[in-house]
Amino acid sequence: MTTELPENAVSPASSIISAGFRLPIDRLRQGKAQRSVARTDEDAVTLAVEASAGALANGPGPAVLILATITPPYTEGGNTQPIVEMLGLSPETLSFELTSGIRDGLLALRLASSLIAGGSGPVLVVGAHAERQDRSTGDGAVALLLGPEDDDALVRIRPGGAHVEELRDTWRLRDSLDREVADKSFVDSIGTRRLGLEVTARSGAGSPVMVVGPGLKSSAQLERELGGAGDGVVSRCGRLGLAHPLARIAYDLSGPTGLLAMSGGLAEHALCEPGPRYASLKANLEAEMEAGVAVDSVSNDPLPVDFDPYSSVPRSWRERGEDLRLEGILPAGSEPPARHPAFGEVLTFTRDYVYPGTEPVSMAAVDIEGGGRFFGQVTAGDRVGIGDRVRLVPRRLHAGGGMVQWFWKVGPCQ
Amino acid sequence: MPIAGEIAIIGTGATRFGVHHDRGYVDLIKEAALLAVAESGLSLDDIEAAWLGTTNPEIIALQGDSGASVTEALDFRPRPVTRVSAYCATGMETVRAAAMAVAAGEYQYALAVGAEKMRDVSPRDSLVARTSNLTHPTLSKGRSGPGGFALVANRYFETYGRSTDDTAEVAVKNHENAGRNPIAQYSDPVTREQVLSAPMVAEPLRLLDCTPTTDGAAAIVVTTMDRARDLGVPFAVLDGVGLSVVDGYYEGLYHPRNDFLGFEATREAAKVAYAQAGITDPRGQFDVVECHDCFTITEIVNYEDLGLADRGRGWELLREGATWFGGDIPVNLSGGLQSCGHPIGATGARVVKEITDQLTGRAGERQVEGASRGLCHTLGGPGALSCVMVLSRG
Repeated sequence: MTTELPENAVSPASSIISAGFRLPIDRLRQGKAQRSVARTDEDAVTLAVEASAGALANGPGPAVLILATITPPYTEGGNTQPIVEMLGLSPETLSFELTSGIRDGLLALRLASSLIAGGSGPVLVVGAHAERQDRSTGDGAVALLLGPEDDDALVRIRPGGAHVEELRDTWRLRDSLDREVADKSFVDSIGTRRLGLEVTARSGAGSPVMVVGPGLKSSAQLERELGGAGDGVVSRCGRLGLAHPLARIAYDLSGPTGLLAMSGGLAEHALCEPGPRYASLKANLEAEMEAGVAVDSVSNDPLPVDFDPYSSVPRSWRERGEDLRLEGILPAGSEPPARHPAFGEVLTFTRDYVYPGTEPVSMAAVDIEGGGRFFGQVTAGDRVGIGDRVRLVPRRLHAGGGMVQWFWKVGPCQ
Repeated sequence: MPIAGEIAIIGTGATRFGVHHDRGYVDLIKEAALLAVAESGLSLDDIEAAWLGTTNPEIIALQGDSGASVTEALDFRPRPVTRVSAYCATGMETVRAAAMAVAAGEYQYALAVGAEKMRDVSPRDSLVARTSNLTHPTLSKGRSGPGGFALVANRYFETYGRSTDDTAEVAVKNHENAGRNPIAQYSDPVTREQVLSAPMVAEPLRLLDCTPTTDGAAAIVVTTMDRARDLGVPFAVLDGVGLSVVDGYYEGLYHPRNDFLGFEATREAAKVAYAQAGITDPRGQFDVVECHDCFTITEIVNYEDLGLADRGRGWELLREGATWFGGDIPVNLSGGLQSCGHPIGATGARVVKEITDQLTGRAGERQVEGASRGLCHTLGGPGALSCVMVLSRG
C-alpha cells in the first residue's frame, strides 16, 4: 500500500514494527464516556514498562528509548533509567524524555524517524500518562517500536510540518501546584482551530486528519472539518496525555490519515499509513480497552501521609539488579519479568492489617514457573488465594526518603 | 570442655512481664539479674562476666547497643559484658554464649541477661514501625511479624485441611496456663469464641493468636557442674544445645526449599541438641516443654519440628490434651509468649528459667510432678535461626 506523501515533509519516514499497550483496569464512568484510572501503585513509569514489554515481546531490543509524558514521577528527569532497568535493556541504550505537552507524543515519532534514518537502530517510543485525580484525562501507556520504512510494517509514519509560536493554553508555573488554563474561546479558536488549519495546510492535503489538540470539543470539531472519522479512544479510556496521539495511530486509521498533535503553541503533523497487519494492532488495543472493569470512584492511596520509610541512594544503585530485574530471585540468567513474563502459582498468602496504611496489604509467596520463588505485595486493590495463577508486574512501592522505590508485585492473571 | 552435660544453671530471675511505664530498661535488667544471682547463692562480686541479650536497642535511644547497660545496672565495672542479638532467639543465644565461656574455662560464674523495653511507645510504633519503616526499602515492604507467620498458617490449613479451630486451642491452653504464672503479662483465661472473634491482625491470625508487645527482663547464672555441686543449690544441667542459622532475614521467604509448613532452623537446632543429650524419642523423653508460640500456628508447627508429632499431625496433640497442663507432654505451662508477652531479648532467658524452675521444683502451681528433663526452644528471623536446649534435673 502506498500513498502520495506531503511535499514539505521535513523528516524521513519510519515504520512501526510492533506495539504494546497498558491501560489500568479500572474504568471510571464520566457521563456517557469513561476514563481509565491507575491504581495507587501505578505511575507513568510502571505503565510505560508494561506497555514497552508488549512492544518488545517479539521484536528486537531498541537502541533508543524515548519517553513522552507530562506526569513523570521525577519532574526533572530520571524516569527512563528505571524503565531501561526493568526492561533489561542495554546500558548503552540512548534514552531521553519529552515532557512539554501532547505535541511531544508525535514529536517522539519524528525524532525516532530521524534517528533511524541516521542509523541508530530500532527506537522505542513510549507515551505514558498517570494522573489519577485529573478528571480530564485517562491513565495509560502506548509503546511503539520503530524501524526503517517497511511495506510489511504495522504503520508507516511520515512526519509532516511542525510549528512553534508563543501561545498559552494550559500551563503550570515553576513551584506552583496550580494548573492555569486560558480562556476557552481562545483555546478553541486560536490554540486549536487556527493553529491546526495552518499546520495541516503546510503538511499537505488529501488525507483525512486526526486532531489531538488542547480543546477536546474543538479538536473533534476540527477533525470533522478535516475529514477525520473521530476519536475512537477517548470515550473508552479518556485522553491518555502524551500517549494519546500514539493510541490514535494504533486505533483510528482506516487508510492513510494525517495526525495533528498540538499544545501550547507547539504543533506536529504526521501522515500515518496503515500496513497489511494493521488490524492486529488495533485488535490489541481494543482488547486492552475491553479488559477494563467499572469502578465508582478513584481509590485513595492507602499509604499514610507520614509514611516515610528508610531508603538509600547507594543501596538502590547497588541493588538495582535485584529490585528492578529480580536478579537473585529468579534463576540465574533469567530475563527481567517485563521482557519474559514471570507467571507463577500462589503457595501461600496473607492479608495484613498491621502494616501501616488505611487498608490491609495483601502479601503472597509465589512459585515461579521455570524456577524461583517470589514474595511480595499483591497489586493494589487485588486479592489472591492459594493455587491462583498470577504474574509479576512492576509497581511503585513508596517514595520514602524522597525517592521512588519501584519493585515487583503479585498480580492476578487478567 | 564440651558444653553438653558439663554446664549447670544455678540461678534464674525475671521481672514481671508486662507494661512497665514506671520502670526503665536498666531497672528491668537490675531486678532480673539480682534475682538470678540471689537464687544461685553467689554474690554479685562472684560473677566474672556477663552477656546482655537485646534486639531493638534503638527503641530506647541506644540503651543496650552494647553490654554496658549491665554495667550501669549492677555497677559491674570493670568486668566484661557482651551484647548478643539473634532476633527472637536472642535470650537463649545469650545463655548459650555465657555457657560456652564457662565451658571454655575462661570463667567459673557467668551471667546471661535478656532484656527489652518495648512499651515506651505503642505496639504499632515499636516492632511494627521497625519492620515497616527501618528495614529494606523493597524486600521488607508489606512484611510484619504476624504476616510472616500468617503465611505459615494459611499454607498449613490448606495442606492439612485444618483451620483456626485448631490454632484457637493454643491460645485457650496457654492463657489458661498463664493463670498459674505470676510473671505473665496476661493471666486471664480466654475462650475459643473470644479467640475466633478477636480483631483480625493478619489473616487468618487474630489478636488472640498473637503474642503481645512487652517490657521485661530475665537472667540466668551458669557455672560448671563441679561448682554447682559444691554450692549445694538446686540446679539444672545443660544436656544439649543447638543453634542453627539457616537464612538471612529476608532470604527465607524467597528460596523454594521453604515449604511454609514449619521451620528448618528448628529441625536443625533440635538435631544438634538431641544428639548431644541422647534424645531419640522427644515425646517420651521430655516431661515438659517451652517452645516459641509467638503466634498460635507457630506452636503447632513447633510440635512437628521438635519431633513431638509427625509433620501435619501437631494439631492432634492439642485435641488429645497431650500438651495441656496434666497431659503427657505439657507445653508452655508458663503461658508461653501468648500470655507472658515477648520482650524479645528476654524471652529466651525466661524460657530457660521456666524449664529450670520445673526441673528444680520451683514452678509453683504449674509444677509438673517429678519433671526430670525439659526442652527449651526459641525461633527467630522469622525462621532464619533457632535455638534448642535440653535441660535435666541436676
